[in-house]
Amino acid sequence: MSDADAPQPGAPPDGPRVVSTGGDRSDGIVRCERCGASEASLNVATGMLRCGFCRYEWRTENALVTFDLDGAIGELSGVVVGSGTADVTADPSVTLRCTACGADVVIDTTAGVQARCHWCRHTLSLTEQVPNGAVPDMLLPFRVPKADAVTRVAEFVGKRTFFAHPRFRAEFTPENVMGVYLPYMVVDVNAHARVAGEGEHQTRSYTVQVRNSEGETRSERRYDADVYDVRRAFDVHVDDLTVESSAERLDRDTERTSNNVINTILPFDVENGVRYDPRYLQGFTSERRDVDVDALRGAVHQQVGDIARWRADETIDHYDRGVRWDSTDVDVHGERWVSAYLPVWLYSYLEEKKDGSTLLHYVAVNGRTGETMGSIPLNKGRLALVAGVVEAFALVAAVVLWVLM
Amino acid sequence: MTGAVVLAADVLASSGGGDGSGKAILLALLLAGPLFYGWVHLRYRNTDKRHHHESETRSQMLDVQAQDTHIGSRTGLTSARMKGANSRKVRAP
Ligand SMILES: [Zn+2]
Ligand SMILES: [Zn+2]
Repeated sequence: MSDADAPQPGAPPDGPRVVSTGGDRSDGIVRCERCGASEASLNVATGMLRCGFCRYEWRTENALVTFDLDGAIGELSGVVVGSGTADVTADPSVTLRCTACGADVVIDTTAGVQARCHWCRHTLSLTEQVPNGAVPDMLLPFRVPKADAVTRVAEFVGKRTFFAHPRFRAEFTPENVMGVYLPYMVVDVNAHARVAGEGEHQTRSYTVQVRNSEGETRSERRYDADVYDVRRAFDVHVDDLTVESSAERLDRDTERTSNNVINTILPFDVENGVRYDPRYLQGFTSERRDVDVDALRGAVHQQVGDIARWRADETIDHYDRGVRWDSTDVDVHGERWVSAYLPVWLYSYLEEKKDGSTLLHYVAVNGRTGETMGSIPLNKGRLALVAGVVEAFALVAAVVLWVLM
Repeated sequence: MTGAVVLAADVLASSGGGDGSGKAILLALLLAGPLFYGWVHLRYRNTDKRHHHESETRSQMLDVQAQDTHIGSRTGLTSARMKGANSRKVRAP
């Protein structure tokens, strides 16, 4: 991979080192290795690609190993990026020349990365990585079959029906779950972290008698503690930190969307990702990335800080009363970015509220692990009514307790 | 609505120590309606859920340097936990 490791021509000397993950399939048609047919798709049961004509199945290369993007994190320095992380351009359409018949076919990469030649019906795929950021470096194929996803969605919703909005209950059709490849950035970070603060270690605990204004005494617990200035410095190697890379999915306003439930089903086993191959997308939909590395870097570094502080907790056992960190500093020595399509089964429902606003609900199933999370529109009237009844009974109980006390 | 529940939970937590659990139970009963509403709301909408990147991301910690300096002591504290402890908070400084 010595050619691929060379810096991108024209990149500034201190710019990122770009590892080309594009490959040499520039004709836009990817063919079966046995019969030459241009149609193949993922067989979810085996995780392999299957030719649409001769049923031949084959496995494609592991992305991170192939592109040497899985090297030791401690040796990372500077910025290394897969070529699929290139900045997304304003014009997302790409023209491909069909090698079978010579027609020019425009692929609108906002809609997907595949098109059918309208003359000869060959499936043309955006395999040549035009540097507009539309094609990711790697992809993790679906492993959870649709039937399994339908069951998980139905189970999740089945446990939440009594207070669900009546229209949602009437329209709920778990079979409408859709397989979607969503765009993410997968990041390895080599950093040095420093956290500093104050910790308390308990030295004594005892009971005191306290007299209140009415002259009654009662016993209360008191504690003595030693106070320490606590500092920790360490190297932290973060492996496969995964962040959404579309503006829509990064919107976490729970008044408008339920993207947070899609976020909840992370993480994925991204180490098993394969080199991007458009044939895996057959039968699924995909969303285009529209956020670049530079726009995500701040959030990623902040998450590295969160991870560092979480790890530092292992070193503060002595402070049994707790530690208050006052500062967290992270120096990032090296980072490696890879863009990826990750598989999500999505059931979506648009709630139209009385004030005209809308709220998009999802039930999401991780296409690899099956982890499921969702948002169900509420029947707020029924919930308020039942909460009122609960309150009424509780008030009666409170009065009884008051009298007894 | 969920804000009220969080507030209630805080009040319950702080009133838990000291003068017995009677007042805490009383307070929980007085707030039972809002607490129930908030509990169902979160169970259906899951607005509090997110990926726990801090604990669910693979990481390695190496070459740990610790520096601990005794700077004093506090006596007669009423809480069993340190005031302002945040080592398990994700967005601490
Ligand atoms: Zn074939
Ligand atoms: Zn053609």
